[in-house]
Amino acid sequence: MLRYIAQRLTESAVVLLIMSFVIYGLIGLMPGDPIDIMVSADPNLTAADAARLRALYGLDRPIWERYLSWLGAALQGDFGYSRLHAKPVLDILWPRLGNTVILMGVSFALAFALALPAGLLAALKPRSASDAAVNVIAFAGISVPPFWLAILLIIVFAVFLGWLPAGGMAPAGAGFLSHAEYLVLPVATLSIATLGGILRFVRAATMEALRQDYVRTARAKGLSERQVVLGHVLRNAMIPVVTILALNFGALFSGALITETMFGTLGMGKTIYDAILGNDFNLALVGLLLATLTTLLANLLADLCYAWLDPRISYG
Amino acid sequence: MSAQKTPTLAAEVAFAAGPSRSPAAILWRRFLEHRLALGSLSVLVLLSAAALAAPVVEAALGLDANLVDLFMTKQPPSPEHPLGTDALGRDLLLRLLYGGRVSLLVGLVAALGAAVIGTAVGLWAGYFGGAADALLMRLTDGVIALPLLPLLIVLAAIDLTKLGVPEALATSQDISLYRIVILIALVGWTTVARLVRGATLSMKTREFVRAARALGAGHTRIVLVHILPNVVSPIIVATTLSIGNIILLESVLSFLGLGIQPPIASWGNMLTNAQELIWDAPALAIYPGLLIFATVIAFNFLGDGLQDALDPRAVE
Repeated sequence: MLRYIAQRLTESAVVLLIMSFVIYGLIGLMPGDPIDIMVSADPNLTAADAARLRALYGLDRPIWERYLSWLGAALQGDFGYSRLHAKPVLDILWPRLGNTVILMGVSFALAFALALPAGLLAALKPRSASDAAVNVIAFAGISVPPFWLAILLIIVFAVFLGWLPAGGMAPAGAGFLSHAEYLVLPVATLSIATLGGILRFVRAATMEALRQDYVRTARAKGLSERQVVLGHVLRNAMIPVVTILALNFGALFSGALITETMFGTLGMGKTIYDAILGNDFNLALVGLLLATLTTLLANLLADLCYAWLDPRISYG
Repeated sequence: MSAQKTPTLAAEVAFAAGPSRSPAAILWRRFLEHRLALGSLSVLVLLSAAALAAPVVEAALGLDANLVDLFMTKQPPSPEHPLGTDALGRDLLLRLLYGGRVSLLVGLVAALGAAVIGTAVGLWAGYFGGAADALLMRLTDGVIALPLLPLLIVLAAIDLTKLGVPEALATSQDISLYRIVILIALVGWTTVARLVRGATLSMKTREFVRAARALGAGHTRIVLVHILPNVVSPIIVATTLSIGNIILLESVLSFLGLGIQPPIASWGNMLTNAQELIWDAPALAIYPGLLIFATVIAFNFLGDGLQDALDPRAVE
């Protein structure tokens, strides 16, 4: 088991390294470079000054050379400064990672808690009215544009009813309830956007598990329907569900980016988006890498859950 | 021993009573039974017809869809402007129709592009197996697992002139259209690739493939003539389902200001400033999103109906 984890961690590190080079290269292709921005901010800088500054900051060197020196610094824990915030990037990203983890965690837990019983119910009574209702809800969930859903929720609950804030975050030091108040609409948006997919997976996996021979055996030996469903169907249905959900972690992060942008939540997604639009290259680069790392770790975690759920799998 | 009558199954009776059916007729009948899919198909036909008729409507109303009139902003519906005007005084109905052209076109073209890439990858990986298969499937898993939206935002922000695209093309008005179609096709092929690979793996061991090989057919001929036609149904289903996702993705990117660029209308970019409009003109924030939602859910229901109709495991 430990060997398997070590191997997966090594693989993740390799993927992260490749991604860091790809993202570094892509960010180098974005319009303008830091010197262009300096020049546009200060009319006294001449073209010769700009060339001198480029040489000073090493921007005239080939990309792989710049990447290696960035990597060398990064490996020693120096990730550079953010242009927009004038602070070391990690000082900005850590607290925001926390906010994103809260948003994603609560939304995912809520969506899963709702989707699991509903999906199970639909699969146990296929073609019933409740199955049809669950089906329509699931399709609505995967089809609604999340940013528009956020706008609708703001119109109803913030503008029309005035119950909840339309966006932003509670001031530092505010109580738990005040923080929760600002979380309700973002969590609702992300949960609804996530719910549909989970519902469909749970329903499909349960239908598949119900078709298996061991379910017939369990029924034949006289187990109650409750024992059959909870003991045999549910546990086996969870195996594919966990795998697919882990693969969807990236989509959850994309959803969080939209939600955070819509509600002004200071999370990773909004930070990355603002950094890209604001030409804050360092912040965008490290933010994207941190998001990739989180995704990779979530996938690893899901694989371990998979082994725990399915005793046939062992990672010797 | 009395001659016992062979029990006749209800299905046999039904089959014997009906005229013999071709596979296409069976498919069509199964599809007709899927009322949601049928309704969705009519909605999509209607929407496409309306979008195609945009210039006709424009001429009939005697308006110009891109005409900015700052004295006529956010007007309520009137005979002259059936749905009112937007924040720049342009006719909302015409913008919605032209936006629909763009959203539907991007969805269809990008889905076809993604299907071509996915089919090629899936056929190659499934047919040849080995190291290429392992590598391609790792790549597929990687693309599925990554947080795609932030990466797409970076890709959409790239300065094309730095990639060697001629200045005239990179700054032309239509470039945002081409760019988004290419970007989405490049990341959207994974579902098709996995399905095609799976289907190819099961096809290549069938007798007719072995017979073809025994008769001396080359790999290209086997893949194109014997395998491809047999994996068409998963391709059709996955492509239909992906159109909805692609339209969603396009709308998100356009909404964030990185997809279709104004003055070209798309349902996504019509919502870009919607958050500021919800106070005095909520209709502007509702219609475009409603159309995205209706189109995406229709494509998803259609795909679901096709899947049920084409799935050989589906029992009647």
